[in-house]
Amino acid sequence: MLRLGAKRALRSGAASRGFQTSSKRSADVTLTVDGKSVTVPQGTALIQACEAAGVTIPRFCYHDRLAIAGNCRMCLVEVARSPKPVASCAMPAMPGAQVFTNTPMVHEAREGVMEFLLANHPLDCPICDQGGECDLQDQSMRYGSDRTRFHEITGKRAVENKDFGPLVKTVMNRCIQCTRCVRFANEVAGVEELGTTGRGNDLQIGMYVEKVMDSELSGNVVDLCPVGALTSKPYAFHARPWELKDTESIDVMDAVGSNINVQSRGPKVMRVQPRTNEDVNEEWISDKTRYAYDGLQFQRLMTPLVRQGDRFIPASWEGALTAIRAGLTNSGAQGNSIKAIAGALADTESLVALKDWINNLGSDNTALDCAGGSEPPAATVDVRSNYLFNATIPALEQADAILLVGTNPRHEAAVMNSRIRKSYLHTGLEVGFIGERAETTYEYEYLGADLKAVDEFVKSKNGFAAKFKEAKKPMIVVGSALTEHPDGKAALKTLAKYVQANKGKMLTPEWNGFCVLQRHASRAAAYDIGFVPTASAAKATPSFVYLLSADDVDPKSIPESAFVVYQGSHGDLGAQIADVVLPGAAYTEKGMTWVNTEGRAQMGRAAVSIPGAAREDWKIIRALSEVCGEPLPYDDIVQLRDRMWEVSPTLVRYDSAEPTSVDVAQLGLAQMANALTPAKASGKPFEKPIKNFYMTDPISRASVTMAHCTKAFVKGEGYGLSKDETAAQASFA
Amino acid sequence: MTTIPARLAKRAVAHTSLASARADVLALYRDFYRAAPEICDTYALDIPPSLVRTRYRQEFERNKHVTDLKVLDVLILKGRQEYQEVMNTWKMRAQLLGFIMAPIERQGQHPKGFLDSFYTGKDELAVLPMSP
Repeated sequence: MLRLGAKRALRSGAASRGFQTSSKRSADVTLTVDGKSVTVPQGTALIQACEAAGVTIPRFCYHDRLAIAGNCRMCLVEVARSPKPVASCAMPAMPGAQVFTNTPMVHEAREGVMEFLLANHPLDCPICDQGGECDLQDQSMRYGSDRTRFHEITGKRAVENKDFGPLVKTVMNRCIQCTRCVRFANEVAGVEELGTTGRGNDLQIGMYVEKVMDSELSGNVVDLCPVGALTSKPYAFHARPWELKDTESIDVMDAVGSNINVQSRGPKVMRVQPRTNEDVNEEWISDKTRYAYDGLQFQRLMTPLVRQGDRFIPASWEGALTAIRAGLTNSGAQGNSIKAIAGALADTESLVALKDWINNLGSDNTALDCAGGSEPPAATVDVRSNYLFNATIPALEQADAILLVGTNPRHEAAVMNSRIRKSYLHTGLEVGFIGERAETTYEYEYLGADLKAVDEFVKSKNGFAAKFKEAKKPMIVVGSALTEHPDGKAALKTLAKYVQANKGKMLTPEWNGFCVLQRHASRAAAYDIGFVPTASAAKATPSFVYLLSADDVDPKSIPESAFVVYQGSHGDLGAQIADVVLPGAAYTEKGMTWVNTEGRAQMGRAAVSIPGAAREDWKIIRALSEVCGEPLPYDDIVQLRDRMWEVSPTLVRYDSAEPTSVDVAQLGLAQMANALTPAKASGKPFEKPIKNFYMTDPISRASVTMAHCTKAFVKGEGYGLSKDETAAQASFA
Repeated sequence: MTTIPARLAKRAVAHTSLASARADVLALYRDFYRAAPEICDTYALDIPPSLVRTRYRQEFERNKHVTDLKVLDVLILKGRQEYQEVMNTWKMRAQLLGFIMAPIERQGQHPKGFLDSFYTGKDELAVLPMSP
C-alpha cells in the first residue's frame, strides 16, 4: 500500500534541489476519444482526457484529489493498437492515441469487472444507507448482469466490522476495496494508521489495531466511499437521499466559511454535506461542520423570556421588547455604559444593525466575545490586512515556509490544515511553530512557546529562521488567540517589524505573507464593521449589556446591577445571565452574509424554517430600535444590505476575497509596529485557544454527536469494538 | 361512507324580494347553528360549539348591511357551498381551525409597518425556505 512516510524520508533530496515555486509548463498532447479530438496537458490521466471529451468513465477507485491506485479496473477503455483494455485512470494520455469508450470489448470488460465486484457484495441495498447514492448500485444498472453465476457453498466473503468511532459506521462486507478511504486518510487527513491488510480477496481496510479513527476530517471518508461500507453513524437509517431537500449554504463552525449543502426533510436538518469550492474548502469539511447539526434541535430558545426573580417567564415579543425598553431606562444607562457584545455566531447583518443601534444610543462600546474583546484590539483594525488571512487559503499550497504563531490550524481551521499537509507531502514545505505544542498532521520545527521565541526567531540566523529568510514565498500565520494574549501586542509588533524589514518577499503585489487566522465565523465581519470599542468607551462601566450570541462571556465581567439582554438561538451560558432572552435563528434558518478569515463574503441560505416564535436576528434589533424610540432606517434585507455596502463594500461583494494593496497593508503594519506595548512582557506561554475541537460554540455544545466525539476522541474512552459499538448503534438507530 | 356529491347541494336562487332572501339567510343561519356540535365532533375540535356559532354569526353580521339582491344571491349561494363543504368533511381540520381561530378584526387585513408584521410573525419579505 501507499506509504507516504517513506516518501517524506526521501524528501531531504528534494530540498537540496531548491524550491520549486511554480509548476513546470508541460506540453499539450492531442488524442482522439470516440472520434472526437481533445487536447490536454501532458501527464493527464486518460480518464481526465475522456472527461474533457465529454465522456464519463465509470470508476470506483479513481478520485481527482487522491493518488491514483488503479485497483478497481472499472474504468477500462480500449486504446487502438493495445492488445488489452487499459485502466484509464492509471494510463497517461499519449499523443495521437485513439481511445474508444463504447465498444463491445469495453462493455464486456466492465461487465466482467462488475460481476467480480458483485460476487462478494451483499444484496442488502434495501437496508443500506448508501441506497440511492451508491456508485455500485448506479453502475450495476448499466453493467450488472441480470443473473448470477455465484454458487459457492461457503457463501460470500464475510469481513469483521471495524470501530472507527462515533462518526463513521462500517459494514465491511460491502467494501469493494477501492482504498479511497485509505488514500484520503494518509494524504489529506494525516491518519497514517488507516491501511490495508491481506491480499486479493482477503484485503481488509482497518486501523491495524483496535483504535478509533481520530481525525477531524474523518467524516469525508463517508462521502468518498463509493459503496455503503463507510456510512454516517448519526445519520444511519434516518432518511433516503431522494427525500432530502438541498440548500447551498455556508458553515459557521469555524472561520473558514466552508461551502456546505444543508439537506433537510420538512422542518429538520437531516445532514450536512460539503459543496465543492476550490478557493475555500476544496471538497472537504470538518467533522464539526458535518455532524454538529443535531445541536440545532436541542436547547433551542423558542419564545422570548423575561426574568422574574430567579425564573424565566415566557413572554410575547411585545412584552419582551417593552421590558427591555423599561430596563434600558431604569438602568440609567447613558452613552458608553450601554454595551453590546457580539459572539462567534452573529451574522453580519445583525452586527451592522446592532452597531448602528448602539451608536444611535450614543455609545461606542461595541465589544467582542473573546478574551480582551472589551478592550481596543491588539492589532488596529483600521486596515483590513491586519486581521485577515491575506494570502488567501489556496496560497497555503504555494508557501514554501510557514511560521505558525499561537495557533493550531488543525483545530482552528481543519480544512486549511489539510492544505498545509498537502503542501508538506508534495513540496519542500518547512513549518515552524511558536506556541503550545500541538499534534499537527505534518512535522514542524518547534521554536518556543512565548514572546521570547518570537523575538529569537526574528534575531536568529540559523535553523528555521534561516530557512524562512531564504524562502521565496514565506508565510506567517498568526492565530486569533495571539491578539487575545497579554503579550499579543508585543508579538505582533515584533512580527510587523519583521515583515517590514523583509517586505521584498513578504509583502509584494503578488504575495502578502502576513496572515491572521481567525477562528470565529463572525469575527472578520465584526472587524470589517468596526465592532470594537474605542479606548474611552472601553473604560466605561456597563449598566446595560446586549449579548448578541455571546456565550463565552465571563459572567463576572458584567456588573451585578447591569440589565442584560441575550439574543441568540441556544439557551447556553449567555442566556443564563440575561434579564431578557430574545430567541434568534440558527445559521441553517436564515439567509445571511458570512465573512470568512480571508475576508471573503459568502451568502448562507435558509434551509428550514425558524422554530417557535424565534425571528431573524437583524429584525429583532430593528424592532427593538423602534420600541426604544429611534427606528433604524431599514425595513427589509435589501435596505440593510445597502447599508452594509455603505459600511464596507466588501461585505456585499459575494464570493470574492478583496486583496489589500501593498501601500495600504504597509500602513497597517506601521500601525502595529508603532503600537505602544507594555514595558514588561508577561512571559506567559501562548496557549491553544481550542482545547476540545468538538465543542466550541452553543450548537456543537448542544449536539449529542459532538458529545460522543468528545468522549471517544478527546477523553479517549470507549476504545474497541465490543462495548461501545452496541451502545452507539442503539442510540443512533 | 360513500360520497354523494349532491348531498346538501342547493340550487342557486335568484331572489325577487328582500323578504324571500331574508328567509333563505335565516334558514342558512339556523343550519349552521344546529350543525355546530356536529362540526366540533367530526373535525375533533377541542373548542365549544358556542365558539363555532359565534364565529359563523360574526360572518353573517359582517354582511348585514347588504341590500342588493344580486349580491345577496351570491352570498347565500356561497354560504350554502360553505355549509356543504363543512358538513361533507370536504375541508381539512386545519382549514376550519384557521377560519374559526382567526380574530375577526384581522380578517382580510395585512400588518401595517415593520413592527406590526414583526409581532404577528407575518412577513412577506422573509426568506422562506422552499417547500419541503
